[in-house]
Amino acid sequence: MGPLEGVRVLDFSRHLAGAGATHILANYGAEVIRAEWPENPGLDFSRLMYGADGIPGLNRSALFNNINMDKMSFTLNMKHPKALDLARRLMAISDIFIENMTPGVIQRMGLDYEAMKAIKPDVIYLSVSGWGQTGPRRNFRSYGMSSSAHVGMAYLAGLPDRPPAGWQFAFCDHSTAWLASATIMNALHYRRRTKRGVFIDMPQTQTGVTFVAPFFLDKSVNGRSARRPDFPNGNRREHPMAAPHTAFRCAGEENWCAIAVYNDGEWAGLKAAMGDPEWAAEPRFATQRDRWDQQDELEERIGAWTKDQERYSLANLLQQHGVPAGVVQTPRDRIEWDIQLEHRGTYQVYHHPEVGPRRHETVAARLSKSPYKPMRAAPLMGQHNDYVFRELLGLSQAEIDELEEEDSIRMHNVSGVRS
Amino acid sequence: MTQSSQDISSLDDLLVLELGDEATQYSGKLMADMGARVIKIEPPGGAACRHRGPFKDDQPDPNNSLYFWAYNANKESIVLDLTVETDRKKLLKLVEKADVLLEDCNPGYLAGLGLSYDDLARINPGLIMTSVTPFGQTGPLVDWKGGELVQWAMGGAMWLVGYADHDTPPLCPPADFSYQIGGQWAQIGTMAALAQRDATGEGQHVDVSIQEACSMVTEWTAPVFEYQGINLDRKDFLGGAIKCKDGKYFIPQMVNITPVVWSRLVDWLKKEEIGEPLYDDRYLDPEYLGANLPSVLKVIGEIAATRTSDELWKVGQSLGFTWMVFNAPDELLEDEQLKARNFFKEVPHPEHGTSYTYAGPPYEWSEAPWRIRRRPPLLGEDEARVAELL
Repeated sequence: MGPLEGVRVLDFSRHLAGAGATHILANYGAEVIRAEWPENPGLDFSRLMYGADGIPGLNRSALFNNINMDKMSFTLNMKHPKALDLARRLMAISDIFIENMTPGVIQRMGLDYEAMKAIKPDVIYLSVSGWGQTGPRRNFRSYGMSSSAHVGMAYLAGLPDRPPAGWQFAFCDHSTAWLASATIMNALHYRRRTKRGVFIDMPQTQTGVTFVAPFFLDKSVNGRSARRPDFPNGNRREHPMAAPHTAFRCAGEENWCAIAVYNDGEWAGLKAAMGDPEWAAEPRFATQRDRWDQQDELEERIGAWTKDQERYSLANLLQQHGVPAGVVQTPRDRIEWDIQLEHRGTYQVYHHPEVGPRRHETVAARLSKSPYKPMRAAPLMGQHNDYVFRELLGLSQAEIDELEEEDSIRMHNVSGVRS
Repeated sequence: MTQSSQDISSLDDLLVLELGDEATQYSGKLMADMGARVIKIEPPGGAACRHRGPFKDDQPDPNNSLYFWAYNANKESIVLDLTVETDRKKLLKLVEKADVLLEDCNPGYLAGLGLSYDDLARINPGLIMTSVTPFGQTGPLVDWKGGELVQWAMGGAMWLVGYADHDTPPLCPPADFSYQIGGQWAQIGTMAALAQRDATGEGQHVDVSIQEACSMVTEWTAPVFEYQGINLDRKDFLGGAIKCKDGKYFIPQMVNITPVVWSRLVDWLKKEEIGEPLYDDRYLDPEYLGANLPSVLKVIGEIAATRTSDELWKVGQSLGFTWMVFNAPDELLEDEQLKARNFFKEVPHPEHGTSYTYAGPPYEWSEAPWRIRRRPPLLGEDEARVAELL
């Protein structure tokens, strides 16, 4: 039994920042029912991204299928008043509502917090947005990447005299989704204590700021800005003072091993692993401060030692000498070769009706009394129409026929145009 | 009878023991900010984070680490030496009363002191013990040393941050993101265990691997390998950041550009009498636009050299583009949106006779809200208050 057994989530969220939150809730046992439609505003664009084997299709997306496991999907034409009535009826029998539409859209549908609270007085209602539900920029557009840039997270990765470095993933989308799931579970505890629900306004920019909080204090207390010459300086680290502290090239093309030395003990380990070369015994490398001051030479010398070595063997050797080291792993390395992630079962096979068995990411917090277990692959669009309309809402065949006739719901031809 | 929302914070019925440092402090703060009583249990001399810069006025002092301040407000502090039996007994007394124990000791260390989850569950079956370590509690790499760089590298995030020119290495920014990521998962696991305890009365052990947590921040990269066999590599930021007149970089992101949005841009350009090459009607076709992006960005780059970043991204937003600026984190202290939302909090530090500006909440609740009640604790400051529990 999962910890959230018996909790139902009415899910109007899209993309990673919203769907990533309900992924976690579903995984811990909540019943997540996603309202979807093959056209705007009901379409989750992530369904259209990175189709399996390069073939496009609403049910084939690598990204969607990776964060929607264990959920259910039903169709709802969000432009149709009768469909929105169905949403309100579902709210009456659900516990949680989550959405991340463009600000204003959910209000126009009449599914805003006040409306839902009237139907379900103790609803836990969470809205994810770029900027929050109030303030002069509440209607500005954003993506996870652009939020990372705005709050200064992206600024911190880079080399002097160059633009900020590129990121191949949207950190802010994940962190928003994660904190959303955690604060929803927190709200469940609150509801249990008080019988009260809550509205939660979740702006990506505010969640992002909490990751760079020490930089605010350096400014507000010391008056020092992170915008200064030579900062950031790649992988070099002043707090805590570490040297070496970077990735070193290894044998082969584009193979790297990260090595960090934080104290004299680890430096002794690194020297021993290198076979105690003469240069490392010189007094100018004696203290952590000395090594930090000589980083250019230090990196060059260590790099000359690593460049012909196999990266995993090197990391192993260094760890055996008590030196923090690890391979800079690619996506493929993580899935195919990482023995620790394999041990934890980070990637689990889900059998998907359209794309077959595929490995997907699970959750990073393992509960001793609710072991992780893959249940259902990500839903096809509308796959659980029968469950939602017949079992949950108790609609008759005649009612379903009528709703389908006026295109409020689609029981058939979901991914195609209605004939 | 239920209490009214004025009386309570959402977690103020919880006693949380935080026997940890970088890996636990983020989660401990999330709970403290929602009302939990969080007691930080520090070794003699204080948690390592207290000895880490930057410091107030750059003067090293365990009570003046700004890094420690950022993630430890609202907590209490006591010092226990777990190598000494009397102190271990004090910890056990606290565990009897605690709801959550957050810890980041090396796997096996607590068990060696007779303080494993099983030992603690015997005296408090309702205890939720959340362990946050570089690689988790078991497995072939369980004894490996972690740290920000290693966790970021082994988790796969580092590979994906850097420049398209591969003369430079993959990058790990100086912000301890791996620890904040591990801390988020500690929070998720703890809240899930709390939900289960609310249903069953039983606690459990939550095992968080920071490496695994980092591997899950990498969005589409693992699934795209699984679905398309493409092993993604680091690239420049969304095709390249552009430097503005004020020296700040901005990103003229060009995604989902409809003909309507594009013609708004052209109207603005015409009004300003700039960017003439973009008046060409062929750009109204999204396909043509996509195929000719480099020449579009070249024109925008020329415009950027004559405008400030603030003007450009706001113009872009008003026209319907998701343009954005690269701020340095502290520049957000002047951000009008965050100011309008009263995001920043003044926290009094009585011993300095002043208040300092702290970052505010990651989310806003309509009731039982996030709150800073007190500044971060001085080392061992709360011995007397905690003694009342013993």
